[in-house]
Amino acid sequence: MQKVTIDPITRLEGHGKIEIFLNDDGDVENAYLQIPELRGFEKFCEGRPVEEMPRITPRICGVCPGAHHMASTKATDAVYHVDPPPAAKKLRELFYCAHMIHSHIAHFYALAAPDFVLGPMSDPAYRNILGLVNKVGLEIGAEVIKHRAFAQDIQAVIGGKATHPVCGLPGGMSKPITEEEREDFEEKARSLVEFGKFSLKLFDDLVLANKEYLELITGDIYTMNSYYMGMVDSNNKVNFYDGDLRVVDPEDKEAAKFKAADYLDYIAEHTEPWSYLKFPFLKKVGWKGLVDGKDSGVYRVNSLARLNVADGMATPLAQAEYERMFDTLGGKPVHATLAFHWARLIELLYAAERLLELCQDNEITSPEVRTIPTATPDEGIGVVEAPRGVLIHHYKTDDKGIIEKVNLIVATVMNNPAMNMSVKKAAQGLIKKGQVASEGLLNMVEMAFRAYDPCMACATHALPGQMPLEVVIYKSQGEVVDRLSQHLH
Amino acid sequence: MKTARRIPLLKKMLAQLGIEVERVRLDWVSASEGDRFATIVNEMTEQIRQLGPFNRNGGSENG
Amino acid sequence: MAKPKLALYWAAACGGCDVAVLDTNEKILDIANLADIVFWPIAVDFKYHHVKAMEDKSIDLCLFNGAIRSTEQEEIARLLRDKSKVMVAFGACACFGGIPALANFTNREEIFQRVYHEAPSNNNEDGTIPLLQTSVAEGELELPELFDTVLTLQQVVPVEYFVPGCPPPVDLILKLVDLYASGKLPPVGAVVASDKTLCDECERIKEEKKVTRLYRPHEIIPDPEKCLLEQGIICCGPATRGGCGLRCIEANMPCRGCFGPPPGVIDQGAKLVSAIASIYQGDSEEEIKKMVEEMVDPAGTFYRFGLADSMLKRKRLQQTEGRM
Repeated sequence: MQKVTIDPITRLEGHGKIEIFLNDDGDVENAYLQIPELRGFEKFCEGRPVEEMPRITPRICGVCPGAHHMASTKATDAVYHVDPPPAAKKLRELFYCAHMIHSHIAHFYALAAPDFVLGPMSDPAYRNILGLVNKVGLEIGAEVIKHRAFAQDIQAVIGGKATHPVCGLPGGMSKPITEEEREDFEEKARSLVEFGKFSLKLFDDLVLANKEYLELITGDIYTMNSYYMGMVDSNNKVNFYDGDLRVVDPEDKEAAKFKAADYLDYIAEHTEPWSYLKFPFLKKVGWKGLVDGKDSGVYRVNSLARLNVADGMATPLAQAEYERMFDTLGGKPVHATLAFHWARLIELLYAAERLLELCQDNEITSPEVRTIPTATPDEGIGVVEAPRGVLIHHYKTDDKGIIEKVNLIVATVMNNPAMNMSVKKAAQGLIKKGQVASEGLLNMVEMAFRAYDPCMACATHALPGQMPLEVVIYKSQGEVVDRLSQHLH
Repeated sequence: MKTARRIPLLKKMLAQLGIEVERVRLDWVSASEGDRFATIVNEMTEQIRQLGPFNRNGGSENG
Repeated sequence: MAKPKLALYWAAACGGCDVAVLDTNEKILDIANLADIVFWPIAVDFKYHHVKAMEDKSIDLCLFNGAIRSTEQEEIARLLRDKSKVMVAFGACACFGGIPALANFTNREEIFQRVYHEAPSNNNEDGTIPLLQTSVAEGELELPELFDTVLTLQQVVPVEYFVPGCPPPVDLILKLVDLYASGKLPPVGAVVASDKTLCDECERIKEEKKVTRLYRPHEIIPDPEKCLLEQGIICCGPATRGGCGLRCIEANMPCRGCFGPPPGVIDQGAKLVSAIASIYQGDSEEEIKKMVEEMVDPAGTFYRFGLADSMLKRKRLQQTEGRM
C-alpha cells in the first residue's frame, strides 16, 4: 500500500513519526504513531544514591522537569520514611503550581495555539509561536512571554533553576524563601490569575466563537470514548501535588479509586514491535487492542481526564470555568480530544489561584523546611499529576540508600494507545478517496496527538523495571498502613 | 599523603567502570630497595598478564 | 540581503535546551528578527524532508542539543553537519554526553531486558520487543537502531563551538547569538562559558579547611555562606568549568558538573578524585577506608554529565555474545 510519512512530528516535546497507509481506493487503511527513542533511565539509575534521583530524573524531560523533581522528591521521602515539615510541603506545592503554569502556558501558546490562531492548514513557516505573536500582536505576545517568565522565575528562586531544579531533598527543601521573595511571588501570582482568565477569554474568542473550530472540537474525527484516570484530593477535586488515583469509565461511572502504591494492581503494559513506547491499559478491563469503549482497557490521562475524573476544581474561578465547559460540551464525561486544550486552560487558572493561596499562607516563609532522615532507607513511591498526566516514581534501595531498582510510570506513555487511535481516526476522517494528503491535512492529523500535549522524552525514558519486593506503606507520621508484596511471574 | 587517599578512591571508581582493581597497585619503595622494586614489578606484570589485555569496548564504536 | 538561517535540533535530549532558548523570553523575537528559523521540531513544523532538500552549507548556524545514541540521531547529525556552516554542540548532552550518557554504565541488551521482559507490569508473555523492521497487515514499519554506547556530538561530526550547561543559562545563549550576529565568533573549538572553574567563581567563604567526614546532601543542613566541600558535602566545583551563574550553589545544593571539565582538564572524573582526596583529612588506613566508604557512587557523581566524554567513555562490560 502507499505509505505517507510525517517525520518528525512537530510542536510537541519529543520524537515520533506517523506512518499512514492508503489502500487502493485512496482511503486510509491504518495509521501508526511510532516512537523511535528510548534512553533507559530505570536501568542506568541503578547504583545512584537515592537523594540524587531528584536531580537525575528531571532530565527525563526539560519541559516538565519540575514534575519529575517533585515525584522523585516525594519518593525519596517515602524511601527514608521521613516526613518533611509542613512549611516544606507547602513550599513544594507552591513551586509545583508555578511549574504547572509554565508548562501549560508553553504548551497552549507555543505548541497548540498556532493551529487555531494561524489556522491548521496555514503556511508551516508561520504556523508557530513566532507567527502567533505576529498575528495577535506584540502586546499580547509580550503578556504571554512575561507570564511564563513569572512562572519560571518563581521556580528558579526556589529551585535554583526552573529547568532541572535542585531544591528537593528527602525530608524537605534545600532552603526556605524570604519575605521579600514571597511578596514578589504574591504579586506575580495575582497577575497570573488575571492571565489565566485572559487565556480562557482568548480561547472563547478565537476558538469557541469560530464555528469551524467548534465543529472540529465536537465532531467525530477527534472524539474517543475512553476511560480516564487522574489524581483527586479527599474531596474528589483536582489536585496536582497529592492525592489518590481515580478512574472513571466512558459513561462517567467511577471504575476505581486507589492509592498510588497499588498501581501495579490496576495498570499493565502491552508491547508492539513497531514502537519503543509501550501501551498501558487498565488491568481489570484488559487489553483488547487499539479500540475504545467500555470493554477496552485503554485509558487517558492529562487535563481533560483530570477534569472528567474529578467532581470539581478546588478554587472558585476555575470551578466556574469547569462548570461552563461541561455545560457547553453536553455534560460529563467529555470525550472530545480537542477539549484537552480547554481543560488545560482551566487548570492554568486553578494553578494560579492555588499559587496565590499558598503565597498568602502564613507558614510559607518559615525557615523550618528540613527534617533530617534517620530511618534505614528501603523503598518508596512518589506520585504527582505531571502537566501531562499521572506520574509515578518508585524506588528500591539498599540499606545505604543506593538505588537497586527503579520503576517509573510516566504520564504520556499512558496516552500512547489513545494517541495512536486518535491519529488513525483523524487520518481516516480527513484523508479520503483520491484526495492529496496535503501538508495542511497532515498537520490536522498531527493535531490529533497535539491535544494530548505529549511528552515523548517522558514516555520513553523509562518503563517499569523488575520489582520483586514488599512495599510498606507508611502514614505521614510513620505508622504502617499497609504492606503489599509483589510476586514475580 | 594525597596519593594514599587518591588511589583507594580511584580503585572504587574504576571498579564501577568495570576495570579490575588488580590493574592498579599502590606501593611505597625507596631508592635503596632495588630488590623489592623488582619483585613488585614482576608481581604486577604477572598479575596483568593473567588479567589479559585491557579491552575498553568503548571509544567511538557504535554498539 | 537574506537573513541568516538558523536550525535547532534535539537528539537524545530532554527538551530543556529548547526551553532554555524560549527562556530568552522577549529576546526570542529579536532572534527571530535576526535569523530565519528553518528547522526546530519543538516549535516549528518543518520536517526532515525540508532539511534534506536544502543545499549544503545553506544553514548558517545549527544549535544541536542532545547526545547521539541511535542511527536516526547519527543520521540527522551528519545531515545537519552537511547542511550547516557552523555547528554548535549546545548543552551538556551534545558537549559531553550528559545524563543520557549514564547509559554507558549499561548497554542496549540490559536496558531491553529490563524494559520489555522483566517489568512487573508487563503483559508480554510472548516476549515481544521492538524491532528495526516490522511487517504489519498494511506494509512495513521501521525503527532506528539504538546503540550500546552514547556518544557526544563531536564523536560523530566535527563541531565548531560548545555551549555547556544543563541547560545552558540564558546569558550564555544570548552571548553566542551576539557573537554570531556581530561577526565576532571566537576561534573554532571555543567553549562559550568561563575559563575559570566554578570554585573560582563561587562566592562562598573558603577557609582552606579539611574535612574528617563526608555528608550526603540530606544528612545535614549546610551553612549557606560557607563552601560546601569544606562542610563535607561533595561538590564538583573544583573540576567544573564556570559561567553557570552558580544557580545550584545559590539554592544551597552542590555542583554536579554540568558545565564539563575546566580548560586543561581532560578527564573531569579523575580530576575530581584528586580534589576530594585533597580536601579530606586522614592518613591512617582506617580513615582512608572510611572516606572511600562515605564517598558514595564516585563514578556516577564525578562523571554525572561527562561519562561519554571521559577517557574510558563507558563501563567495560564482561564479554558476552551480545552486540558491544
